[in-house]
Amino acid sequence: MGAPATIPAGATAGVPKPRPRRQRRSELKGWLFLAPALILNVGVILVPALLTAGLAFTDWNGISTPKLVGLKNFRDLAADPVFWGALWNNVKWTLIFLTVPIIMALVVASMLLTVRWGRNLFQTIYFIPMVVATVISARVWQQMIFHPISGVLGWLSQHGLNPFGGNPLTNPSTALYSVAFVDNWHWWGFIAVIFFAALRQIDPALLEAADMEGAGFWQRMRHVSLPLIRPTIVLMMIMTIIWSFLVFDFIYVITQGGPGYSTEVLATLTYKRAFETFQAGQASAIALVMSALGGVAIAAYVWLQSRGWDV
Amino acid sequence: MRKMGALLLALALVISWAPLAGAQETVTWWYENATPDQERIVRTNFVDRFNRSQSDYRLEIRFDPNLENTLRTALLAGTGPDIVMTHGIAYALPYIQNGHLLPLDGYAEAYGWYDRFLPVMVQLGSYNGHLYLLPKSYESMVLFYNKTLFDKHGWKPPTNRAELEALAEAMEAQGIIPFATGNAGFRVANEQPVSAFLNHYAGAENMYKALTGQLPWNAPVFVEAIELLNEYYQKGWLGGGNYFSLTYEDYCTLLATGRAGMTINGTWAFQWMTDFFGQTGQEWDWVPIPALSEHAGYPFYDLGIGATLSINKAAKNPDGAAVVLDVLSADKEIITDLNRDWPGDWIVPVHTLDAKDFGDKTDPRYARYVEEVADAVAAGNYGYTVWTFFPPRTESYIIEGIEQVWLGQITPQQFMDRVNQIFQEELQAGAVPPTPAR
Repeated sequence: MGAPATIPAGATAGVPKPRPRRQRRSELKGWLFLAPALILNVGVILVPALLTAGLAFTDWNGISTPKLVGLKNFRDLAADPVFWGALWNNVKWTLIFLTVPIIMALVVASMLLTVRWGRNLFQTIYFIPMVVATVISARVWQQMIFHPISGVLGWLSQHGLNPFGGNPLTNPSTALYSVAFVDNWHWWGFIAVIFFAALRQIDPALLEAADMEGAGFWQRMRHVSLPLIRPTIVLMMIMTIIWSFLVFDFIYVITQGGPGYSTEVLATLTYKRAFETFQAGQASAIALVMSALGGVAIAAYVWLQSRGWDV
Repeated sequence: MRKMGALLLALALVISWAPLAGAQETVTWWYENATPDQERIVRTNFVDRFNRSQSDYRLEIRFDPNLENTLRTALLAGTGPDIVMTHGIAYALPYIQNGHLLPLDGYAEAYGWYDRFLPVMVQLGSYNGHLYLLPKSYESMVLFYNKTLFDKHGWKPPTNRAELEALAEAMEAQGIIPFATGNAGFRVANEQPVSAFLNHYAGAENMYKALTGQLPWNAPVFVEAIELLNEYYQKGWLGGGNYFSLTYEDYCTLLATGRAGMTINGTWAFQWMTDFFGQTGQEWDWVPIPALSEHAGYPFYDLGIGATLSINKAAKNPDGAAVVLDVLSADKEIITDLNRDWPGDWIVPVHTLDAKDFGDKTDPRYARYVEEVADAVAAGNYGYTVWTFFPPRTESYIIEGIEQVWLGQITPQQFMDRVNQIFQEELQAGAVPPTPAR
């Protein structure tokens, strides 16, 4: 056995070290595991998304060959009062859902925390509307609650007790809020259950310490519970913004955007332009605007994270 | 080993004989949404009978609640059913313009369809001199009324605007809703009163001129028609102030119980009349929509087509599809049985059918309708429904924009200005369905 060979210092600088075979095989395995989901995502999400983005710059009736028209679809939308009305309705919808269900859910989740008996029963009751099909919930409210002949409001009207005077779904000034009310009825319980799960993760010692310091219910909420579940609240708010710009089902089933465009939102307008008036190019342009608005919410979320916010 | 050989030989024989055993070629048809009962009616009265009568072809029908979208995707991909069914001419037109449908001229000559179908229907289904579409059925708007209620109050069915309005006022005074109607759950229903008022106020000639670009839609005669419709709405005559809340089940119940007196509705409502009045035991009848001005004739029927039938350019079996279309329009027993079980949806627009053919299979009021409308159409006394003769963007605006008129957000003049603007754009773009010459 002779002396070990020595390599002069610096002789390997700039020469990439060959990766061990085991590492390469491990990476390959990783890609193989990833491939099915990746292929599915590229095929089902990325390609259609890119096609939709491309179609936004075309004139296409959904059947003929698309013709490139540049920014015409966006110019047409900018001049279309129905589009601006729909966008404004989305903004109103977002503001409603950023406040009403979140406040309701926080209050109820906090109260649930103080309840010992029947907690699971309450959670189940709150969650039930979430698992009822949209069409069923919508029809129940439309026909059994709001209806001027067969509904609860109809009965109240007969006795002079209807606070709306008629069917609020058919009045342009109350229609959007009425549909939002129905959507919120099915939605807030879901958030309440999520907030309750987050609240249960708080170390009880912290709440007990606050108790010992003489903090009341609202002070515990403000200074202990809310700061500790802030990541959950922020995430739900970001998701609420994204979902609010995609809202379609309750509106389409209950009012189909009417009466007189009063409940039209971007998603219902997109559907109508694509499948009723065969303006697939313009529908794609609206869809792109919806994506951009959702993208702003995602960007805000990423920005908050990068600024060190615990979200 | 020998057993295995025998088994393989038997299998080979079965496989080689299989094509002979199934010598019938399959013809495919994707049908629009239907209830389970309606599916049964189509299968029993047509599909099963057709298949029993044929040695060469076997019809396979598939019901699709999302037909338009499924069909569009399939045709764009160069596949789809042999028989292409659409919700109307405006829906079929882009398929024709983009070469997805087969010209039917050869089959029409061979089977005598030109002589069998009403000439206006052949014109409607033609594009650039070729026949592409056959109407599955035709429809029009009429005035249904509660006969029991009318008899009780000594009212007579109206024939003109003065009589109609006098009746409506008399009903209002009794707390009865004059016109049972509503759009809850089906906003598209808005186009029905618009269609009726445009036709029966402005008249067929003016409608023809506007559809062919010779008269703008914001001409005074059309604006006046919408003003009249709005006047009726504001008086609470349409749905008694609950128009936006009433589904067809709601307003048919109101009519069949005598809480409403009349409804201006399409011939698909014949089925509803039978169903709802059957439950209350009251009587119903129908008359043509009264003339609402001196521009409109009486009686005349605004014509619509609820569904078109064509043959796919990429059909695997176009000849078989033609046989299906031929049997469907020629076999009187099949047609009358379909009408017996599904009235209003199978009025095949052929010369060869009259009230006698229905015998006692259908309600005599329905048989009378089929004969009277066929005669009126043959004599040129027909108008133009929005859903058959208007292009898609204009139609969509009419459905949504008329609500703004009723809600006081825009005037009838502004509404018709916008209708005219969109229509002229679509006329320029070639999106207006063909209008048969008068």
